Parts: sequence; structure tokens; C-alpha cells
Amino acid sequence: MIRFNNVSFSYDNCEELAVSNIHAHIDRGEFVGIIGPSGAGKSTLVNLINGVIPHHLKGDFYGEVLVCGKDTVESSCGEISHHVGSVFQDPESQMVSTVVEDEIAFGLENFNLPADEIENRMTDALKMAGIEHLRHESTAALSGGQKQRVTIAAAIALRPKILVLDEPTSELDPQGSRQVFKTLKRLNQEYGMTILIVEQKVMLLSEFCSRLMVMERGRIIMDGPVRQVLEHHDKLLELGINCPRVVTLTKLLKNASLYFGEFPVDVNEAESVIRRIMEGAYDQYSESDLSLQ
Amino acid sequence: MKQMLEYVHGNSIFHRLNPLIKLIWAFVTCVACFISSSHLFLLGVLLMTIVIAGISGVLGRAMGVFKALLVLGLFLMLFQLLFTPHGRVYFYILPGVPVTDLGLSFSLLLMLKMMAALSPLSLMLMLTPMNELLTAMTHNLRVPYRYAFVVVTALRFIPTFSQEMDQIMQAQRSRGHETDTRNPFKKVRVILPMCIPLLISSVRRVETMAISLETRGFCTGPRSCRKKLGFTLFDLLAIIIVVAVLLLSIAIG
Ligand SMILES: Nc1ncnc2c1ncn2[C@@H]1O[C@H](COP(=O)(O)OP(=O)(O)O)[C@@H](O)[C@H]1O
Ligand SMILES: [Mg+2]
Repeated sequence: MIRFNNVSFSYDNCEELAVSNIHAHIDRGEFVGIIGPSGAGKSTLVNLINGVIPHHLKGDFYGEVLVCGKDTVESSCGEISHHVGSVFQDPESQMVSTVVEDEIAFGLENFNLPADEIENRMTDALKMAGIEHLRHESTAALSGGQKQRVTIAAAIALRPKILVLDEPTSELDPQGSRQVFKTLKRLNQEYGMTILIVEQKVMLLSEFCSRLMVMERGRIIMDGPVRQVLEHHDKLLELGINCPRVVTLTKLLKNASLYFGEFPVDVNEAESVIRRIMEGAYDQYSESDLSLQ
Repeated sequence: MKQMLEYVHGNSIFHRLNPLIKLIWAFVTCVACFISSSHLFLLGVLLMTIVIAGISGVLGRAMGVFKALLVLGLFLMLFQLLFTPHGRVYFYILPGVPVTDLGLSFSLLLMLKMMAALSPLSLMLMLTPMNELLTAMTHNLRVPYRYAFVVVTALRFIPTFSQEMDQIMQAQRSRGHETDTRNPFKKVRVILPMCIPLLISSVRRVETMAISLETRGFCTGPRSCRKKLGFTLFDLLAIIIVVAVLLLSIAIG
């Protein structure tokens, strides 16, 4: 679905490479989380997929990015927009309309959809984003979090094959962020939508995503199934990424030779792990492990 | 500023009027007011605007607009008054600067003209959703979508910039800059330096928006419209009234 072949990019007014030697392949239906310190190149990576780079933000581009089999350099931003939906970092300036309803209809009208189809998709998207009650509100009067929900609704109304989101929950409360992730998960499962999300809240990523990419200074330094990446707990902490507390806890349990299995990714899994430890399920392992030493 | 040009959601007959009719109404009234030099006609138009605002439930907002226009009008009036030396002299404000009957009538006319001509434009924006305005411009008036969009977007950014200005002002105030002053000259000196950060941030915002447009299929082909805007009997009635007003202004002179 998306393929990066040795991609490097530096912005025009900046010597340093914003991303360098990116090799990655994302399949249809994956739900990928991207995390890393600020300035790591996460936004750049996302903008390489939706064609904003190189069509809008100029710079030196090496390698190739293929989206749905097509080179992004060769297709225009408008063409790419038929496959890729985008949500950008700043919710205020990406809104084009004064009323929520118009904001969601904007892309649908651009794609020349018939009126009743627009109505259906709009109602659907508003419901999914949990903002039905804001339908007739003025966009200027919304809070930051509400604006973010509107931009997400506008993107999912287009039902793109690929959805890329750049820190879409930065101004939402924990509950709101969770709801957004739930909605994305549903889109991912029901429509097979391929989703890439840049997000700082590692707990949400580990719970909902199937794959995690960690970026640092323009490189993807880790890439794999969530559990596998979370095992490099120390490296993540070095990057300023606080692992979910369940991971930290599991690490402690492992260090104390109380647990040897896979990393749990949410509270429920952690609970069952701890229950089993308390019931003594791993006792034999720990004994045999000790005897090895 | 932002409240004068922003749409107020509602369902009155004027809200439901075809946007094209409202557009025509606003512009025709504007033109008629500039043609006319009758105090009575201008007062009549002003009254009509107030009545429409009242029926549409935006009287409060409209009053804000009238107040702002009145202040501006009074300034204009004062200038006009001081620079019209013809006619019967009532008294002298300063030595050599008379206040005359002609000057008074003239300056009053100017003020009324401005208020009567501009308030329908503002009211039209309060009663018409942006997207209907866009539809009227592109479908009925055949303005290319790109250009119609530019006009409407300029309006969309007003609240954004005024919010940003507030933020910059607050930031300045928290650093001990005095920003509250009634003296208009001082006010200009306080506000001017803030225009630079505002300008920079607005350029950035506009850039982000351009990107957002592009990734949502802006101008990639034919465009559909989700609302069919028909004409009703009431639209017909409205257009007759508008034409009558125009004719009246020409007849009265
Ligand atoms: N529009 C731009 N022009 C010039 N340099 C940029 C631009 N956007 C980002 N950069 C630079 O590219 C690097 C990566 O930035 P970015 O992709 O925004 O990181 P992140 O989203 O992970 O915080 C940074 O060093 C940043 O300074
Ligand atoms: Mg970023």
C-alpha cells in the first residue's frame, strides 16, 4: 500500500536532512503508530505520504515513495487526495469553513459526490467523531479539542483507503483521545482502512495499534509489532518516551524473575498476568530459571 | 469586527430566502443609498434594515453594527460639517470655521448614507451561511469557484486573526506593556508593533490552509453542491420589493 524506498528529504531552507534513508513497507489494513521526540521527522514522514512533500513543501528529495503503487512525485496532490486522507497538527488553520457542517462537506463536494451521498456520509462522520451536536456550530467558537474532532470527521467522511493523522489528539482530554482511537480502530477493522497516526500518548498507541515505529533524528530506529518494540523499554526512555506503566511493571516483574511471557499492552492483560503470577503459574519457570544460573 | 460579518444560525424567513436574492438586496440597497440624496429615503432604508434584523432575531448583533457605523458616521459628519462653508451661518466653532445649515444637512446626509448603505451588507452576511453565498456566486453569478472561495475565505479568517490579536495583546500586557488606552493616537502606536507577529503567524496559517485544501481535492474537477437552492414565492416578492426600492430612490432623487 505504502512503500518507502531509501527516502531522504531536506527542506529548502535547512541543510540537515529532515528524514534520512527511510525504508518501510506498510500493508493494507495496518494500524501504525509513529512516536518520537519532537523534530524527529514524524510530520515530514507523514507529509511524504499525502504528497504535501514534494508538491507543497519544497526541498531535496531522494529515493521514492509509492502510494497505492504510484510514485508520489508523478501524481499531483489532488490525485493522491483520492486515496489518502490527512489530518494535520494545527486544527485551527486547516479548517476552511465557518460552520462545522460545511467543513465536513467541503471535501465531499470537491469530489463531486451527489447530495444525498454527502448527507449520509456527513451524518456518519459526525456520529463517529462524536460531534453530532456541533453540526451547526460556528467553527470559530469551538475549543481546540472540538476543532480536532471536526478535522478528524472531515477526513473520515472522505473514506480514504489510507488515513494519516499528525498528532490529532494533542488538544483533547484523555477520554476524548481514547474515543478518537476507538473510532479509528473501528474504521481500521470495518473498512480495512490503513491508518498511520503520529501520537505522543504511548499508552493509546500500544493499546490500539498493531505496529509501532519509533523515530529519532530523521530515522526510523525501531519498527515492528507493538509488543516487540515495547521490550526496548530502556531505549524508549532514553528518547523521553515514557512507556506505559503496565510495561514498566512487567519489566520489574521480569527483572525479579517472576514473569517470562509477552509484554501486556493494556491494563486488562496486565491484570491477568498479575493474577497468574499470584496464583503461582510461573513458579516452575522461575525455579528452573534459577537453577540454570 | 468579527461579530458584524459572522453568520448567525437561525430559521427565519430571511434566513430561508434564496442567497442570490439577499446578495442582490444588499448590493441594490447599497447602490440606491449612494444615488439617493433624500434624508427621508435613507431613514426609510435604515428602518427597513432594523425591521428585517428584528424579524430574523439578530437585532442585538445588528445594533452593535449600527453603533459602530454611527461612531464612524459622526466622525465623517464632523469633517463634512467643518469643510462646508456655504449656506446660512448658525455659529462659528472656531474663528473662521462656520457651521451652516447646508453643512449640517449635507453632513447628516453623508452619515445616513453610510449607515443605510453598509448595514444591509453586514446584515446579509449575518443571515446567509457562507456556503450558500458561495453557491449563489458560483452557480447563479458564474463567478469561478476559485475566486468566490477567496472572497469567502477572507471572511472566514477574520475571527482567527482577531483571536490571535487578542492573544498577542494579552502577551504584551503580561509583560507590562500598556495596551488599554482611549487616546486613538496612542492606540495606533500600541497596536502597530503587534501587527508584525500577526502578519507572520497569518502567513503560516494561510500556508497550512493551502495544504489542507490541496489534500481535500480543492479544484481537482467538477464540484457538486449539497444544497439545492430553489426560488419560492417569497423570493419573488422580495425581489419585487428590492426593485421598487431602487426605483423609488431614482424617483425621489
Ligand atoms: N517547513 C519546514 N521548513 C524547514 N524545516 C522544517 C520544516 N518543517 C520541519 N522542518 C525541520 O525538519 C525536521 C523534522 O521536523 P518534523 O518532521 O516537523 O518533526 P516532528 O514532527 O517529529 O516534530 C526538524 O529539524 C525541523 O526543524
Ligand atoms: Mg510534528
